[in-house]
Amino acid sequence: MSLTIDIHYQKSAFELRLQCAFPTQGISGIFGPSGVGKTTLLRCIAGLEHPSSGTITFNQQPWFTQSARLTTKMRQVGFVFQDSRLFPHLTVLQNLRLAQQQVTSPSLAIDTLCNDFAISNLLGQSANKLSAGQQQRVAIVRSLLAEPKLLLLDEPLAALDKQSKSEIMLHLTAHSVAQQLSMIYVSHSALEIAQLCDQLLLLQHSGNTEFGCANKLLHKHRQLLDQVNVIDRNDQQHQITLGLSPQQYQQYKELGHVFISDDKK
Amino acid sequence: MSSDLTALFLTLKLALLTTVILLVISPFIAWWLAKSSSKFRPFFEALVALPLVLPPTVLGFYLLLAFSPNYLPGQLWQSIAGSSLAFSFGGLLIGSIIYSLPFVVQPLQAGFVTLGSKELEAADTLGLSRWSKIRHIIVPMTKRSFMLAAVMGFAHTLGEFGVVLMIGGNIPGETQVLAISLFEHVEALEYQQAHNIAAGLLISSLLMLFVIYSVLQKQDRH
Repeated sequence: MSLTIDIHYQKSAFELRLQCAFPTQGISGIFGPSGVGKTTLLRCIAGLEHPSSGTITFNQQPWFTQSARLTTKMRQVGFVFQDSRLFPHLTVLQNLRLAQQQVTSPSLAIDTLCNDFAISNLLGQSANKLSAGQQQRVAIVRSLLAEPKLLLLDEPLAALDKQSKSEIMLHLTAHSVAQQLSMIYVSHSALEIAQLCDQLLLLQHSGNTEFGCANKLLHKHRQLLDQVNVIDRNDQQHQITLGLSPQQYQQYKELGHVFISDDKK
Repeated sequence: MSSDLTALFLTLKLALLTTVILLVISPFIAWWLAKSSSKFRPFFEALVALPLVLPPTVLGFYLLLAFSPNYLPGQLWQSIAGSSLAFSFGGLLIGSIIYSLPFVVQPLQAGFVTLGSKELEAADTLGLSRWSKIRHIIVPMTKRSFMLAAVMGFAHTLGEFGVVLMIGGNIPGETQVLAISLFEHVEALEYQQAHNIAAGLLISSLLMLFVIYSVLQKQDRH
C-alpha cells in the first residue's frame, strides 16, 4: 500500500523531477531548502496543480496519468496550508461544521478534537479575528474533521511557538495512529521532522532526492547535531564556547554554517 | 398625473425584472471573465462593456432592426410568440438587460477576482461539492459585490432613455417609462410635471446609491 509518484513538473524556469513511493501509513516527511519544490509536490499530490507528465498512484488507484486526472475532491486528500485559509466569513465552529458535513457518517467529535488542539475557547469567534497560531490550530482540526484518506501538511507549525509546536505534534502523531491516517508533512525544520516523521523524502537544489528513515537521513546530511555542552556564553560579545568531543569538533569544522538544537535561553 | 403613475409603475416593473434576470445570468458571465485564461476573453470583456460607451441609440437601432419582422430574429420571434418584440414590454426588457449588463457583470467580476482561489482550494481539499462551494463560500464571500451589482443594475435601468426611445416608442402602460414621460412633459412645456419626475428620479437614485455605499462602508468596518 503506497503513494507512488513518478513525475516531471515544469513551470517557466522551475523544474522538479521525482520518483518515490510514500508508505500509506504513519507520518512521512518532506524536507529541503526553500524553493526546492516541497509545496509544489504537495499541491501535485492534492491535485491542486498538475505535473507536466508522469503518474501519481494511491493504493493502486490512479490519481494522475497522462490521460486521466482525478479531482481533489475525488482524491479525498486533506491539506493544511501554510496560510491556514479558514473561511473568513464564518466562525471557528461554522468552519469546523462545514468540514464535518462533507462526511457521510462522521466518526470524529468536534469537542474532542477541539480539546486536543486547545481551540475549545475559540469556537464562537470569527475566523478572521484569530492570531496566526490560532488559525493554524483551527485549520488542522478542520482538515481532520473532513476525514481524508491522506493528510498533507505544508509547514503548518511555522506560526507557532515552541511549546505549542511540540503539543500539536504529539496530538498529530496520536491522531495518525488512532485513526490510521497517513500524513505527509513538509517542513524545513529538521527538529520537527525528527520528532514527527518515520520516513523522509529529502529534496535538494541539485535535483538529487533521497528517501529513507527520517533520523538516519537527517544525521547523514548533518541536519541534526548531537547535543553539545555549552561551557561559556557571553551575550554582549555574542560568543558561545562549546565543549566538543573530537568527532563533534570535526563535524563543526566541516560545516559551512552551524545548526544548534539548544533551546535554553 | 395618472399617466405619470402608470409610467412609474412600468419603470419599476422593468427595473425589477431586469435586475432579477441579470442577477441570474451575470454571475456565470462574470465568473468566466474573472477566471478564464482563454484568448477570447478580452473580446467578450469588450462585448460586455460595450453598452457603457456606446450611445444607447446605436444599441436601440440595431435591436429595432433585430426585432423587425423583416429580419431573421424578429421573424423567429413572431412565428413563436405571434407578436412583434418591437414596441412591446418584452422588447424593452431585452433591451434593458443588454443595456444594464455591464453594471451588474463588472462589480461581480471584480468581486470574483478579489476572492481569488485560496479559500476555494481549501474547500476542494475538504471535499465540498460545486454547489456547496457556491452556497457556503463564493456567494457569502462576495455578498458586497452582489449587493452593489443589484443596486447598480436597478438604478441604471430606472434611468433608461435612448434604448427605449428607439425600440419601445411611447405607449402608455406598455413602453412609456419615466424618462420618456419626462421628455414628453418638457416638449409640451409642462415644467411642473417635468420637475416632479426629474426631481423624483434624481433623489431616488441618489438615495439608492447613498444607502448601498453606506451599507458597504459598514461592512468594511466589521
